[in-house]
Amino acid sequence: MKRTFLAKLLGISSGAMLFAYGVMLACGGDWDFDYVYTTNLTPELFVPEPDRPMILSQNLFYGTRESQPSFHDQMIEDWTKYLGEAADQQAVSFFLLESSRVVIDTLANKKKTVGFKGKFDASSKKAQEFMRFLHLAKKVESASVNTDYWSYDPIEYKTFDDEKAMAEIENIYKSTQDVFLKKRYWFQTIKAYFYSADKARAIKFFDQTSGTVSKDWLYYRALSYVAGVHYKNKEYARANYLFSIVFDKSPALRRTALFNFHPQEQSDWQQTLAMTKNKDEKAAVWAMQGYYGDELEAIKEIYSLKPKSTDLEFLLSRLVNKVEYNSSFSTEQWESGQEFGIKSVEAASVVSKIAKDEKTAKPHLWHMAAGYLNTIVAQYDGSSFHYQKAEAQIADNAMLQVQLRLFRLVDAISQLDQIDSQTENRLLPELRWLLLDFPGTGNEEFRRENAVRWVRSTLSGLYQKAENPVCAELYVRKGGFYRNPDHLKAMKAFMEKSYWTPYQSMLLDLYNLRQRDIYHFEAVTATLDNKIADAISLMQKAGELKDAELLGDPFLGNIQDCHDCDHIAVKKRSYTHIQFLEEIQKKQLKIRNLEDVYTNSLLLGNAFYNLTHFGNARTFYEDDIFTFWGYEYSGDDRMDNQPMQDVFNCTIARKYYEQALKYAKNDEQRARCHYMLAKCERNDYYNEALGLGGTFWYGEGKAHFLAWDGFVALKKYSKTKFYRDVLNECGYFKTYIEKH
Amino acid sequence: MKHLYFFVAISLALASCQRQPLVERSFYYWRTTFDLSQGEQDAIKYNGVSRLYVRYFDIDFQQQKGIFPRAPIRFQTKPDVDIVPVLFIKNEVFMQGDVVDLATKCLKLIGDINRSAGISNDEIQLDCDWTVQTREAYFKFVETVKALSGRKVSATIRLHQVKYPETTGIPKVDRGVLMYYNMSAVGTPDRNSIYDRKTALRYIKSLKDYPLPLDVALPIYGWGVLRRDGKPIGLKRKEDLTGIDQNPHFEHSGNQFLVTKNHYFHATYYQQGDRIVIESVSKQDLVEMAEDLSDAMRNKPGTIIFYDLDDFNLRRYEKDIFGQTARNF
Repeated sequence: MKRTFLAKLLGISSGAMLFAYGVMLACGGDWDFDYVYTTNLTPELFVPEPDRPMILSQNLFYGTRESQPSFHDQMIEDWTKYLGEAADQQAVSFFLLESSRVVIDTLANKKKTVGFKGKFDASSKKAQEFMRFLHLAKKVESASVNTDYWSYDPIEYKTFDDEKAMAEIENIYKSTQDVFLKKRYWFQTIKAYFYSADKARAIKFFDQTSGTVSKDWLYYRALSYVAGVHYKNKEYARANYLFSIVFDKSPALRRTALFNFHPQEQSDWQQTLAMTKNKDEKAAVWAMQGYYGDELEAIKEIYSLKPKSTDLEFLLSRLVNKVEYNSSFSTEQWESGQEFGIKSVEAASVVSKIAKDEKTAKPHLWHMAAGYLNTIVAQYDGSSFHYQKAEAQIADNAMLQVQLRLFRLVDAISQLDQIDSQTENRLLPELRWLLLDFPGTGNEEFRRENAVRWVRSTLSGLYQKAENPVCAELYVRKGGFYRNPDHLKAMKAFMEKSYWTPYQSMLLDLYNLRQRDIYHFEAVTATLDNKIADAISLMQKAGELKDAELLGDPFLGNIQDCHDCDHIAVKKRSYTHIQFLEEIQKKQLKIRNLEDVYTNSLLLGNAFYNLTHFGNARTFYEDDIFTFWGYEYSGDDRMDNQPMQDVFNCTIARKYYEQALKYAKNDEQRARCHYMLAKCERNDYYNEALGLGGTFWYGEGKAHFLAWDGFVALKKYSKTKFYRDVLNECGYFKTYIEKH
Repeated sequence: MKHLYFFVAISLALASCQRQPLVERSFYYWRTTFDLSQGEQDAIKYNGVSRLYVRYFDIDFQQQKGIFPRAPIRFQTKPDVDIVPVLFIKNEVFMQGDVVDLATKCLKLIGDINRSAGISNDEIQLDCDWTVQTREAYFKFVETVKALSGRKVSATIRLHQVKYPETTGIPKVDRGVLMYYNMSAVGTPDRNSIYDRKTALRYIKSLKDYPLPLDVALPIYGWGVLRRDGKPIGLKRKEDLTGIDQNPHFEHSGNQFLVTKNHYFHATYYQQGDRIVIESVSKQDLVEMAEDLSDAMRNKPGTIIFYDLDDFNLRRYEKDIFGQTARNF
């Protein structure tokens, strides 16, 4: 799940420091949002393929991060068609986009020594024309493209000053009879002038000749260069006007034109508007403005000018996304309790009106959007009306039907302020559909994640309000739920029922825990409380979980804590969860009967030590409940922070080690007990010193080489073998001894 | 007795002469074209600045381009003070490629820029917010730059790097520059992201233990945080805000500008209800920073470098502010 990108923003600002604002500005407008997973609308259903980059996104353009201009494909297609038998697409693509001037010149001189993939017949007349063209075009390109990023050029903008080449290009344009080539040389003439020192020549040449050429994508690319000259001359109004024409007329250049549309001041924008000659042009200017500015304003303007404009569709999808993003229907907001704003109400009302008129190219989209916007602003008569209208118009579009069904479910749930069995039954098929049986739509982009989370969270909240913690938990798991004995009992009772209603069955299907998990959790809790008889009887009910094998020998007590080492060490015997508990019980019984109290106490000390975070038996309690939320202190009260308190606690181990010490018969045994006690002391100290919470484990901390009571006592046994082992293996103790 | 008085008097006089080793003043220059205005030249002269820290280029990484330099500086005038090139390197860069190759390329580009501007330098400054993941590569880069260039190398040090040196490590440089700004995430409500004393004080206690000799970088910049529907959506630089107080579609109150009508202004489309919150650092803040740091640091910094030298920033302060700040160290 992707959430708020303020974190990302933080990353950028602290990552950049000196350069921070430059970087952020370079990222453009929407850098701190990620809309993809925070919406119930799949905008692809509203926006036709070529306009999808204009869907609302955290990037400048949606779904497209590649830097390759969108017209490259067109260029390759045109030349492949022209060259026919002489070359295939792979070769054309190589020559146009990848090959260097040297390669071209080599081929132009018919020295066929260059390597490339694809078919190319250099001897054909068309291929030679292609090479002549490329020979000149690559010269012009030397001023426009720089791939040697590490070279330093003290001049900021390169100019193309090869007058001879410029004249040659223009001459071929004038003389050639081949329409295809003529058009390309025409374009290259404008491009060359654009990169020359005297850019005005580009405009002049365009004005003189543009009437004679067809208005294909290359024409609009040339027009973009003309617009660029105006931009460079700070004639922003004219530049933007020309870019709007490119935007409107050339699908291949739409994104490029949009990228270049930049009114500086309000007056530029007003002048651009004044330059438009007809409704189409005016609508195009408003569409671009809507992309950068206010979608609603743009929709109103375009609708009044050209209600069938397809630009309205991408603007509508952006508008819905934005309104939704600022409402409690988006994952981003529902926890903040933010309500929709005044702009949302206006958006719902404007879109409703347009939908009712049914004058747009796709009225059903407007009904769908109007329905959902009315849901957001809690106008349920409106939403119901528009959903009904939409339904009647999308009979042949399965994906839109899925979208409508999702909207309607969200609408129904948002109307609830309480939940009863009648409502449950009414919603059941729809909930099952969304939460469990959602069919593969064949459209990976279909966005249901936000709806799933929103529905579960909203219903969980309603059950919480109704003091039904079981149903609330079944929709959304909460940390600490099973720590409450009443909740635990209620959930067990629910799970052990002999019959569930279909609604309850659905809830169970949604939930990932079963009785065995709850029993296992209870057994773990009892174990950590040293209530072993209870733990055994509970563990017996934990199904296959009781037979899970521990990774290390849980009765092992080494000088160094290293659970990984214990896991790979050869085990004398392995233990399942239940066998481990039974063995603990046996040893406890032996102690009660005063059989070898030292050894049994020491082994039980080890067993309970291994049950802490510092030992080798973590998998015993790492189940789907006890450590479901992890066991690091989160500071978040929705999480369960108790496991951390439990597993960092060495009290029981310490009690057994003390008992072993009491019954120890010689210095070797005493030395061992003192050392084990020192480990417990050390753990307690660092738990406290680093804090169970706050800055826990942040940074590496510093070793303090403190005088634990255990260390002080151990010093007295310096003659023992165990002492020497500790000195060899435990650097901390060695340092302590050297310091004290 | 007389002699004793005389001796004491002489000692005191000597002590007071020695008491104030000079804290140099300097500036960062962070534009991509080097061309000082009259006001900027005056600030250099007035503050006796003998060396400027000039951003030469940033180093960035992109999938298609690999590691590449961004916007290398172009000198339109030849500076008459010493220049220390500063390279800002994005942390991601150190997750890719060969640092020896990178160091070689950087030094070549610095050399090309120097040659074209007719200048030379005896120090290079590296600016990177390295992390635990990149520290090894970054430190190797630092050492390589030092070895290959034969010049002094300094590096910027962030507050968190001072506080957690065991985790973040300490680069082997001749000096560090403590960056005393950018203290919290932009857009944190009720908090100035540039300078927040409460945040700063949490970090600077560790300065006493920090082993590198440190200079200090202090902020004199400001910016506007653009908020829409309560969320920060962009930062506005000084150029973006020129003339905002004369714009009738902004309502000014305190450090905020409220947009009252949809309109374009300096290439941004503002919508009614948007807010620009200005964040900057006052004269009092600068003096306070100097006092706090002076208490916290083991040694006096050699240089105070103000970020950044720009008419827009200079105009907001009286001209003796830089000296006044430096004297508080």
